[in-house]
Amino acid sequence: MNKLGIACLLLTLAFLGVGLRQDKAEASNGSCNFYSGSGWFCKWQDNPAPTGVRIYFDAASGTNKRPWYWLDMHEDYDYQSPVQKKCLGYKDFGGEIHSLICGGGSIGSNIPSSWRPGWAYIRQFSGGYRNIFGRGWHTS
Amino acid sequence: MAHLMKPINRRGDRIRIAVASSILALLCLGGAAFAVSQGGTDNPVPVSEDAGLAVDKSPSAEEVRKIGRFSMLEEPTQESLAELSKTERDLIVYGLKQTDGKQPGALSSVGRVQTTLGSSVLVFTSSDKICFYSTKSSGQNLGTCVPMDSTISHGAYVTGENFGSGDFYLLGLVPDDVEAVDTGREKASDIQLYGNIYEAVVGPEDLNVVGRSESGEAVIKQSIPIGMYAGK
Repeated sequence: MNKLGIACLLLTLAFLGVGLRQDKAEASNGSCNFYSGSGWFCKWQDNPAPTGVRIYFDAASGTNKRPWYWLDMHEDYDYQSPVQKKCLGYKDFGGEIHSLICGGGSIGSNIPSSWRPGWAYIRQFSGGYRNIFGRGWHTS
Repeated sequence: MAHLMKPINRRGDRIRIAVASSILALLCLGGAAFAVSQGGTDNPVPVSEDAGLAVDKSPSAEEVRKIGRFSMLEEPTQESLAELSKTERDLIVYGLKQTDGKQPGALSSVGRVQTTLGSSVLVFTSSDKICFYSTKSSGQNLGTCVPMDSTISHGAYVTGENFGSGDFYLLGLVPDDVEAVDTGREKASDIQLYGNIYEAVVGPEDLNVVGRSESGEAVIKQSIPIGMYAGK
């Protein structure tokens, strides 16, 4: 019982420790925070992003394969440079790439549980360089 | 000495077990609360459980409705909002946060259509943005918020992989002067119009969507490079 109690405690603290490290992680172009109402919220960007290139969420912690349940993509915070042709995509755990949603404005889509966990990316097709950013939500 | 140590160890055991149990219980409660906050569904929309839905009763909201370019939009009422599913309500709350990138907007008008593909499509406005989201029977939820002005003149669309198939799901929004939508191909009956919304499942090839007036004039033209979007 004694050993079991200690094991449970260590396991729990280790779990919490991982969570805290993710919470504080400073990413190369992605960062995350935890919110009690909606789980982990992450964002990433490329400024400016070349046309046609997939810009994957890339956290400095190296934990990029995540159980994303919702992703969205935006052009710029001030919406002054609309990128009508852009896509939000996802590479599932099996390596298959999916174009989740493409179009203008603030595009957003959910991700089926059968594709989780996986990698999220944003991509623009303006023919030049544009500022784009992505946001994602995932469970623990 | 040994018999003196025993009670201390037991007390230590009890403390450790109590601490571990408390932490585990907190984790379980947290997980349960999170699951509840996600509506207990597999396809949650990222909004907080306590997020309110603000309705815009200002004169400017009335002005937005008076524009009259999207006749499926109506003033939101308690009755019409009560008819929405939790996912639809969450999509509105989520969409209102996309309208200016800073403060959540307030709902000035809303409309909904059911399509023959089994989707429920929401259209709503806040300030100078118009949003449209589809909740599909397959569990796929997707949509966008776009500027009102450009949508009146050019329409708007989103497209994405149709979950579970190699085809693409296409969802578009057009103003009232569009009476029919076609692709300019010989068989033009593949796109259905429901009020201001059109919807189709199409192959992964480029598409030119034309919105036509009652007289057949092309009033909206959209070049949709699905082939490029589908490129692996």
